Amino acid sequence: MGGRRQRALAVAAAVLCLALALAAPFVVGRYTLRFLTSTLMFAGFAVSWNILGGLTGYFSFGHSVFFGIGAYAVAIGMVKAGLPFWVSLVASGLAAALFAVAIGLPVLRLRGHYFALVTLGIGEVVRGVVSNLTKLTGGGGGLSLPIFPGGVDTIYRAFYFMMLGTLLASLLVVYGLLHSRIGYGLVAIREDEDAAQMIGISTTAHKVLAFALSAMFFGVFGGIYAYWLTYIEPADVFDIKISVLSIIMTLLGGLGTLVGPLLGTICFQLLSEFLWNRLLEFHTAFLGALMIVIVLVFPRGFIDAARGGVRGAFRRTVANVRQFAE
Amino acid sequence: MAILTGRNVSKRFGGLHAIERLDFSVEEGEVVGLIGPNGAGKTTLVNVITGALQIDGGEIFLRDQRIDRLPPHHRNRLGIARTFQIVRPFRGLTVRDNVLAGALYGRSERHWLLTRARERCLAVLEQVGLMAKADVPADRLTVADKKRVELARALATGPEVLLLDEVMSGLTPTEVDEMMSLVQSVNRSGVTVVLIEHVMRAVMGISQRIVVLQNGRKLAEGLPAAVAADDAVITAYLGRRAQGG
Repeated sequence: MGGRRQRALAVAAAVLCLALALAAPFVVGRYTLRFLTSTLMFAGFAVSWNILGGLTGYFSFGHSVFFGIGAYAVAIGMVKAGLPFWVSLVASGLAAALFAVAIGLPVLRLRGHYFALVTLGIGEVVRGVVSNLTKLTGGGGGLSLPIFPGGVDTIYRAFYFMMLGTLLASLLVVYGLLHSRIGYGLVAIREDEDAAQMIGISTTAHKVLAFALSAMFFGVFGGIYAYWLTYIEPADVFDIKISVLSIIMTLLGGLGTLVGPLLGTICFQLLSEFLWNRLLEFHTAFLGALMIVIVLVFPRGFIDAARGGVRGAFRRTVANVRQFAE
Repeated sequence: MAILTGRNVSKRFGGLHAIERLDFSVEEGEVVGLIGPNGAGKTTLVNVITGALQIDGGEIFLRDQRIDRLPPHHRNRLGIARTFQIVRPFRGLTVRDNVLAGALYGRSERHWLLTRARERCLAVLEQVGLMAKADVPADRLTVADKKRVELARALATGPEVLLLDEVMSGLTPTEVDEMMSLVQSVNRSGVTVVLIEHVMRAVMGISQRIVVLQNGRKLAEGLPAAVAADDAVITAYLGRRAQGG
């Protein structure tokens, strides 16, 4: 598919992007580097949320839970258990993945909307539990972490590269899935779960695996984030906005694709960087408006929409509005 | 030797007995036609054999292995595949990927690797005559081709028994002819076929044996010609008496 020339172009583009990403922290200023670091993290959210939401078709509104679990795993590991950061970081990914398996096994037997509702609820429950386990988590007062050793520039670069590395790992996982048996199984489940079962796909096992992979990356990002900020509190790391933004950025770029979530995040981040400060008051209204535009104009992401050109986009919008009106 | 056997199989929906104490057996290598009026329990029977629905009583065997408690994907891995009455291809995927998904799973565990599965996928596409449309998204196909894709996807899983739920309905007479010869070629390749069908010409034409269901029970069973001439069948199913003389 795509032809050899297209593939060569894609590889060239990927190499170029990677080279730019590797060079960036030695070129740009601190403010920009900080912006890029959080952009990498958001891109990682979208890419890994997409494993369950895009490939498998199960929308989770509760992925902030895994981010929070990862953040607290690193904080507790370093502060309470005195473990080194890297060990705590591995624990954060494992903890998030295990928690996903524990809730996935019962909950992923549910389909579609029910699953989405349950994920919303779980987010609130875990946040409540963490806020009240004061001895372990510091409760609502949060936890302070040690500061990464080294000068300011070293710190800025270190966290940039950690986010970049985790993002690349998530992209590799999605690429691997899209080119493997399991990926076909996940996509088949998204397309028609009953039919998928009938061709021998054990749907629950596949869904739980996708959920755990997706959650694991959120956990690792949470762990890095905690060390980066050196202070975490429940309201910050269990923020539902993490889940919502992941969904918006993925939808913006293209559900179920490899680079869609990445491009969606870049667009979203640029938009917010230039508009946010001016639209501070309308912040949420802007998010809402964006969601409506996405759903109506390009429900399959703008990569797909761009293929049809402006006229295609117009026709699609009319068709979508009609469909909603029915 | 019987490849698929049911003993005393029952399925209720609330107070409705969709299938009641049904005994059936399918011989290896045959084409069995399953007919009956709407609501007779034909699709329910497919659903309980494949595991989409659980039975309320009785036993179902594939050869001598009891399968009625197994989940659907497990039964498929043992060699049972189906198509759906209302077509359900993976609409967002190309014809090729639909079939490839089947080749990657099912009984063909040996096709675990993509390259192996691709070979199997190509062979099936060739067999069902969809090679020219391999890269077309499934939702852009005609009904006849969508049914063909579903058949191909089921076939790619490497089944021993294939349950076809109205693969002929909604097709033009030419398409019915094509589908009939396709089903026959599939059967010749060693797959046992259970054919649920309302298109009499097709089911009478290619079945070696016919089972007639009515209200979840077996009304008649036998050679196509004998069943077609059976008074009870004519009354129940065709809804009119054969004219004498």
